Amino acid sequence: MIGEEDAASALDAVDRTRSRAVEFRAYAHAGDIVIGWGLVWLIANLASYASPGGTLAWPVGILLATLWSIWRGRRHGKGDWRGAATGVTIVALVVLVLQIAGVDGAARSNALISIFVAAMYVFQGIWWGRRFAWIGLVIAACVIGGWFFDRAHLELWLGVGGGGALIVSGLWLKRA
Amino acid sequence: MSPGINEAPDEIVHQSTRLRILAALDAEPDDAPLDFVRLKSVVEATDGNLGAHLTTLEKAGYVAVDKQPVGKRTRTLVSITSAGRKAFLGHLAFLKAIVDQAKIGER
Repeated sequence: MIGEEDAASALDAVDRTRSRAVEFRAYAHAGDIVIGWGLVWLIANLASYASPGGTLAWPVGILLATLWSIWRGRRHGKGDWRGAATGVTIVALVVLVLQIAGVDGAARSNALISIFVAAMYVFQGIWWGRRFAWIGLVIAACVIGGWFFDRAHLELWLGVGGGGALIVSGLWLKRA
Repeated sequence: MSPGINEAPDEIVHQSTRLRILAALDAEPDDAPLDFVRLKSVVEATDGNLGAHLTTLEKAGYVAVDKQPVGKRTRTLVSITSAGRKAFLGHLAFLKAIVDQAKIGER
């Protein structure tokens, strides 16, 4: 005989498991996308650090990573317009914040954009899965470390630290 | 009892780990199979525990286990069968009916 408490507890367990299944599926799907962005972050930051002309790696890298993300997203049946609309809104927000705040200089823009990205991962972690929050916190730590303690080598902090964290995190997500 | 609701608990499904296994497999879209490693993480079970409960579910015809060689290793894929889904959903309806009955009784 199953009592009311047992039944309610079993139904709770089912709900929790369904949520975990969705969370782990999201991790596995996001893994390749995170690795792609990590590679762009690593290469573009190192190129910018190595020579002033290296900043050209950013538009090329961002374009490639965006196409990669769209392709991977579609492969997993995530062709939802809301995902694209969210991405466009975030990019517009970052560009407007940079313009309105009068942020000048590649290093300051780079740090600000990176901290936005870190915050987005933390928000995603708060709503959909803790692992995303950890990625955001590691990126934020790299930005803060590079900006406040070693600004001369900021791109190294962001490339090796932030990009490396994204690549390792992507592998971690893929294993979920 | 209404159609689709079990009249008695399905003891194979009701066991806590097996209920979570079926919930995880039922949550996969398009009846996609789940890798053993991910299923273990989702269900929060140990290798041995998960393996034992999968054997029980497989014997009951509720899950299908497919072992595929990948290099020197074996990848185990688990999916829910139509009989498993029917039993799982029937048991869920049975549990909900108990909770609903209790709520009606409280009024």
